[in-house]
Amino acid sequence: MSKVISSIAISGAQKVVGAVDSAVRQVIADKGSNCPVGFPDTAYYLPVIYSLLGHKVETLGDMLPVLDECKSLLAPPPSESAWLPYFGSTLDAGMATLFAAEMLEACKYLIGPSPVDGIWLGAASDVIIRERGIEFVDGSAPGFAAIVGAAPDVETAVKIARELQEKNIYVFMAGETGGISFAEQLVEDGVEVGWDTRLVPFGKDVSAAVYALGFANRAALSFGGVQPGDYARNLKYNKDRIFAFVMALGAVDEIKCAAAAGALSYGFPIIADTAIPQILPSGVCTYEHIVSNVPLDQIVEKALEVRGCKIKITKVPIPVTYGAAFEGERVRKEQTHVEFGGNRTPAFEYVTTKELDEVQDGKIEVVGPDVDDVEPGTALPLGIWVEVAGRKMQPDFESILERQIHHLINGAEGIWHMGQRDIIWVRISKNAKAKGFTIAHLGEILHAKLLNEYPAIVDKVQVTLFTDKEDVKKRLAQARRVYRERNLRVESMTDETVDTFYSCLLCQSFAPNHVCVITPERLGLCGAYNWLDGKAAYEIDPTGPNQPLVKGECLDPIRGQWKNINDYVYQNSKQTIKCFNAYSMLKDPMTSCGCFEAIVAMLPECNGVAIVSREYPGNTPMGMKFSTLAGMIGGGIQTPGFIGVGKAYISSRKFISSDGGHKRIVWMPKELKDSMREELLHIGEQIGIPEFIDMIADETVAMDDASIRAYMEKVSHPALDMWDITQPSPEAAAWDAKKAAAPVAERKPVEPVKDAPVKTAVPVGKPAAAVTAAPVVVSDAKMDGDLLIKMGGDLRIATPSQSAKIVMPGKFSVPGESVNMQVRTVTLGGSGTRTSAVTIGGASAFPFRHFEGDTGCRQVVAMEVFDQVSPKLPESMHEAYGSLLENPAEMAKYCVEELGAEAISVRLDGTHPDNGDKSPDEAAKVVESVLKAVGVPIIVTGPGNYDKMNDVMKQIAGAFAGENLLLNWAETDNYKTLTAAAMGYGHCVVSQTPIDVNMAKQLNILMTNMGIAPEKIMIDALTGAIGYGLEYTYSVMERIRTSAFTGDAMLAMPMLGTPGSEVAKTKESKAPQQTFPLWGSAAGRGALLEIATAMSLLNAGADLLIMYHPIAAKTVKNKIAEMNNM
Amino acid sequence: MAVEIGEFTRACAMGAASISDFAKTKTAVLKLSAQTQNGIADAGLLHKAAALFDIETDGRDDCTVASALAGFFMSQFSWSSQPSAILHLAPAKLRQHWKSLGIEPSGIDSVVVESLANTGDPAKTCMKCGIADGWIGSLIATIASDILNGSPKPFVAHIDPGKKIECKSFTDFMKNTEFGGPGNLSTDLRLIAGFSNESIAHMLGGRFRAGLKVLSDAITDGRIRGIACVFGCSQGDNSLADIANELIKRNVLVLNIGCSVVDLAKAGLLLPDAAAERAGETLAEMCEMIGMPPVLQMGSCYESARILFLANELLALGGLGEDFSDMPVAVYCSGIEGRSAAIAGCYAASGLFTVTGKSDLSTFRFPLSTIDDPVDAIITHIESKRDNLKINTQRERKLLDMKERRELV
Repeated sequence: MSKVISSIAISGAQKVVGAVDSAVRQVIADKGSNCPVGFPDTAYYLPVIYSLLGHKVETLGDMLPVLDECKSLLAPPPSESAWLPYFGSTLDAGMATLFAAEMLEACKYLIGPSPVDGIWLGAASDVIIRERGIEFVDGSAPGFAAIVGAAPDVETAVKIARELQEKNIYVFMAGETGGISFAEQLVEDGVEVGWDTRLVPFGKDVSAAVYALGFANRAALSFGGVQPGDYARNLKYNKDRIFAFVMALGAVDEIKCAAAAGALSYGFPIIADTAIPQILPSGVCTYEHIVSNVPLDQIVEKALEVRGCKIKITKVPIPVTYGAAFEGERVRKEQTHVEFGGNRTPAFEYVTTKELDEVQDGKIEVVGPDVDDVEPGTALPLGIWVEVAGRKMQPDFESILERQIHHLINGAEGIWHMGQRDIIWVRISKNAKAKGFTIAHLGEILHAKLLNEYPAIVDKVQVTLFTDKEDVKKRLAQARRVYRERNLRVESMTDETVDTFYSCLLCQSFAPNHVCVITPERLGLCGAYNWLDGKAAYEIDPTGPNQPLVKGECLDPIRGQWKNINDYVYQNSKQTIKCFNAYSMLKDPMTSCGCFEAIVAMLPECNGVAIVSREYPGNTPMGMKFSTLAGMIGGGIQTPGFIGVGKAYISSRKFISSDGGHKRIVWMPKELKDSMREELLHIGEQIGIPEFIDMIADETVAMDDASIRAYMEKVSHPALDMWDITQPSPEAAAWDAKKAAAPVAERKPVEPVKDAPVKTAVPVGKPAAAVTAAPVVVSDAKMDGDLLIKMGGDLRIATPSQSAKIVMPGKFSVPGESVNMQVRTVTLGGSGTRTSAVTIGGASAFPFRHFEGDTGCRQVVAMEVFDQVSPKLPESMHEAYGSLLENPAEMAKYCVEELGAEAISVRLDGTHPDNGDKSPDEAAKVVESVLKAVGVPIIVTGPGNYDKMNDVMKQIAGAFAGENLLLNWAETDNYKTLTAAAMGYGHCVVSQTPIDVNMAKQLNILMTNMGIAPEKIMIDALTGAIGYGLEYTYSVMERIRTSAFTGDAMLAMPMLGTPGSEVAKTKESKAPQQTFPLWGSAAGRGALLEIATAMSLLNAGADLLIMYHPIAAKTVKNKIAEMNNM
Repeated sequence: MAVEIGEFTRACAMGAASISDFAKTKTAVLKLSAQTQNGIADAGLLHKAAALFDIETDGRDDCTVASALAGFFMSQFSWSSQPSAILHLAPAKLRQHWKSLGIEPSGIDSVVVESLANTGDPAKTCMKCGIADGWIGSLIATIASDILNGSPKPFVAHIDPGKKIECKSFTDFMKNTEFGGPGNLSTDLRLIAGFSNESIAHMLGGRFRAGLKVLSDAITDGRIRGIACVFGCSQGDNSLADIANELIKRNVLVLNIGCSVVDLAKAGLLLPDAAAERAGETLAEMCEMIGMPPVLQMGSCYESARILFLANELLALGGLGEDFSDMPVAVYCSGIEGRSAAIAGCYAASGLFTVTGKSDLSTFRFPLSTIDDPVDAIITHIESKRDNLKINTQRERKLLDMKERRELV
């Protein structure tokens, strides 16, 4: 009879919307449309409206468009006959009711009656959402029951509430039946209501039920990473994750019906104890939509069944109710029958490991007086002595199990526990005693729950409870010795002393790319999992979200980066996070999920950081509240300059240690500072500034960069004397420089040439750049000195250490491009007599854009030698090389050994018919001499003449078969012979076309049609020097690379650039200084032009450069190293 | 009276030609409306369509997008060496099947010519012609029309049973009569029309949960055994209504397009109270939940693509197989006169079990084999598909703990 429900709900919705419409207009008439309106302590405006419509209601006027929206959602109720489909309209009417109800509640905050009144709590603040929302994420709260109305009597109400509490389900209460509400019924029986006991009275009007839905919507926004306005995802998140339902108790009037229809869109079904019409088929809800007439003693069970919610509860054999909801319940002094500890008596708890045969499972022994032996109000000593045994139990887990005692004991109704170790305080209430609770039941709880929650590590549990003063004293001394040992062990446990960290992927359900890496000195950012917890969790569930990570090779000891960790993070972040630094918030920091305890945020103006904790509701120096900030950095992304952290990390020795550590802390909320007073005092001592805690500004001192800075100057804050926080620390910079200097840039291993066996001294498989290792490594200093003398001192080689001033973007992440195809790799040399190989290409991101993807192999600098010196060669080349120009073999040796050339091009201009017409044999001799002189890969650059080119290349290809030369070049009108020669003798070949994408592609097709492997082809789009058409070259090369990335296989080859020969042709590199005095030194010009051309080509995508001038070659090589080691 | 191949081919070509002509007109109107900056009734739909065909929308106003879309549509009529770019909307498996048979059409007009030229394998030509009719012609016409007029929403229509209606314009016709047009209200028939894909999604989930999940669940849990689309060019004969009546009695949800609306309306099947009176118990329960009639009127015969969209969306929800041929969905067409042949050809070539009159078109083996009892054949087909999908068992109620909930995607 869903038509009946529809009629009721739609007419109810019409009434609600109509009433709210006139109420809002009245309030606007009184207060003006600019009057601010909203719920307290939230950054989510009116959360249902904000999250589903994306509309911010900040003033009364902002409500008007929402009212229009509500009206547009209202269809007429179904007519008597020939009615139109009504199910969708009913859902819409329900949503309109919720929007209207939310505005009504907001108006109450403005004009009264206040929603916060007596037992009624009104809207939940963001702090509550964060705190409680996490329980919905980690499963400790399986869902919530939105109870509307009241039970027939107090006893039934209490029974239903207890049953829900026992199942850890939150109870959200709104509305009434016949003037009585469910919440009032509970209070009447003395049940403690409030967030702590999970029995939450929102308000007595039905409209207060909207707070429950606002809670659900905000959970999706803050934990599900759902964007405001994305109603589809928000509601799906609620359907799949927040297992809530509506329990309608008592008569359902049209207003209740309309509001409940709103809950249906969330996938929250309605369970009623009265005989309202049912809607049984599924779809919008997982199972039934409305189930009615359910007997009250079955209603909780039925609700869970309809919602599809499975709850595992351990029956704890005690005479009182047990459930997580009771953890927040207090036992006041006058309610107490007996208490232990709390400074009145000695009391402690202790877990120890025993051998399996030393523990008698289930043995609970009380040594000393029990509850019946004492008068109400007595204080007894207490020693909770827990002995556990298990095949996988380790002493490291003792403290973890011991820490559970607090919440395990607190779960019992009427029992209260505080503290840990030797500072515990336990109360057993009179009510509990009346129900039969004794001290032995404390042991029963621990036995049942430890076995149940830690089955993988705990096989047997035996508990002894000492209440005799002498026993307690004796045992306490024993326990204290162990506490001390544990402290020492934990303190001595550092990231360096363990070889394994633990991952935590628990939050991936809402931040799918987030990977927590938990180290001994950096706990999970939720604050709930430290390294030992990770270890224990792994033992408990070896396939669970906590996995051991063997650190592997350390890639950066300063910032805390390890190879295996990087690999794991990459794999488990769905290939989005390539690199992770444990101790830096600036460079590749850890991603943040959503449930971090605090945020560390950089304040560049103050050269330090602010730390904001979740509890702090106010504005922060970053100009926004915690929740807004959290929304920005959460969701599993790296946000340089911002990290989410667990609070305990703040006092860790590794706290942003590579960015300057504790001395960087310039601002914290006062409350956080106070709560961490001891730790901060300790930190002060460690950094040698005992008064450091007072140097940290808080909201009572300063709220913006400038005033914090002023305060820092007043108190001489140490951060003021530190290096610029946006830059790497001196240690990190030194490490970077060391890494850049070392010839290790690992990108792609050298791939052996497939059809030619490798017989070289250089081990194949070494990283690509390593193969450039020429026999002699020339130091920068020597290079600088020699050349600067020659150049008259007007040029400097940019070395990485001098130029490493690239400013790290502090506050944003760059969206990455994705590509469909990776550029192929081409390997030159590496076989025959070649002692090294170079592999180029392999990029799937544009050059140097490491943040976007794999930029492939490092670019390679080759240098050119000549079979005959052209009279047109610039004077600067003669100055640089002198007589070496005449001797290609010697010059090649010089280029490789002294200048670090990674390949040599032998230019055979002398074979050109117009230019000496040397024979192919003569050319082969020159090539042979170079091959003998150096072991690096050789490029053979032929003359331009087609016939001669073919003759020479045929000869050389055959004579040096297996050397894996690069034959330079084939072109559209002359490609067949060169291609055949390359195929026949195992060489690579350059495919050269005149600055045209289509021609480049066409030639590659023609060549590959002949059968040459595309991995043997390099593209030369033809270089124009700067000022001579470089812009055309640039754009064509870029187009070629773009096409490759978008999937054009015939353009996905590495590219060659020839800045050396092209610049050497220019007037600017040749003209003497006296002709153009303003152009400056002739010696330097060519090199500068060559550098500029080469750098542009690199940016356009060139993978191999053939260069001329020593300074140019060396500078470009340094730049390549630097830009690839960012 | 078995259907012969020549007769069927000509009928297909005629139907496709007529759809093509209609689609072209709609496309031209779309182009003109875009150029004259008016007439875009449903911008949301426009953007949805643009996304389907990779038409740039960033930084473009609606008219520019509409113009580009119309341009794209215009390119789908003439011959090209490549299959039509619209075909990618069909399920992957089906497309692969078409490809392996070599029956992917390029432009619809060229396929019509090919059919009339009678050069290739006649059965394959018919399939190709059907695919072009539905996936190209009707799809373009439907999308263009909905962008221009807004996608139809359920409304109570009145039609004059004595008046022969024109297939092309009957939606407009009914709208006109509804809004004070010339219909003779004393003798008229009432029906509920206007079930477009969008309005069905809305009626099943409201604005915020719009979608077919309720329908898909109902099919999976057996309340609705399957779906049958019935249509035909004839008017004034009861056979189609009888078939529809039998199908709803057996809990099959019936969809209808085209002129036969008059016969179904006369039989009272297009009104919601038909559910309680005529439908099987579980279909009636679904109809009552939603407030819908057991037979949904989804437009004229140029809107045959709506059935394809619906099948696509159901498939995308999962649980009903990978291809149309896996789904418990069937087609009944009263005969192959008029445009029915091409439409039946489209559905059959798309993998739906299709009965035309007393023949089984599904295999395209001519002369077509005869079916004695179409209803029985359809029910048998639907139940066998349900068996294959393993949904012919009581649906299990799964209670999920937190770990299992996290695994829900």
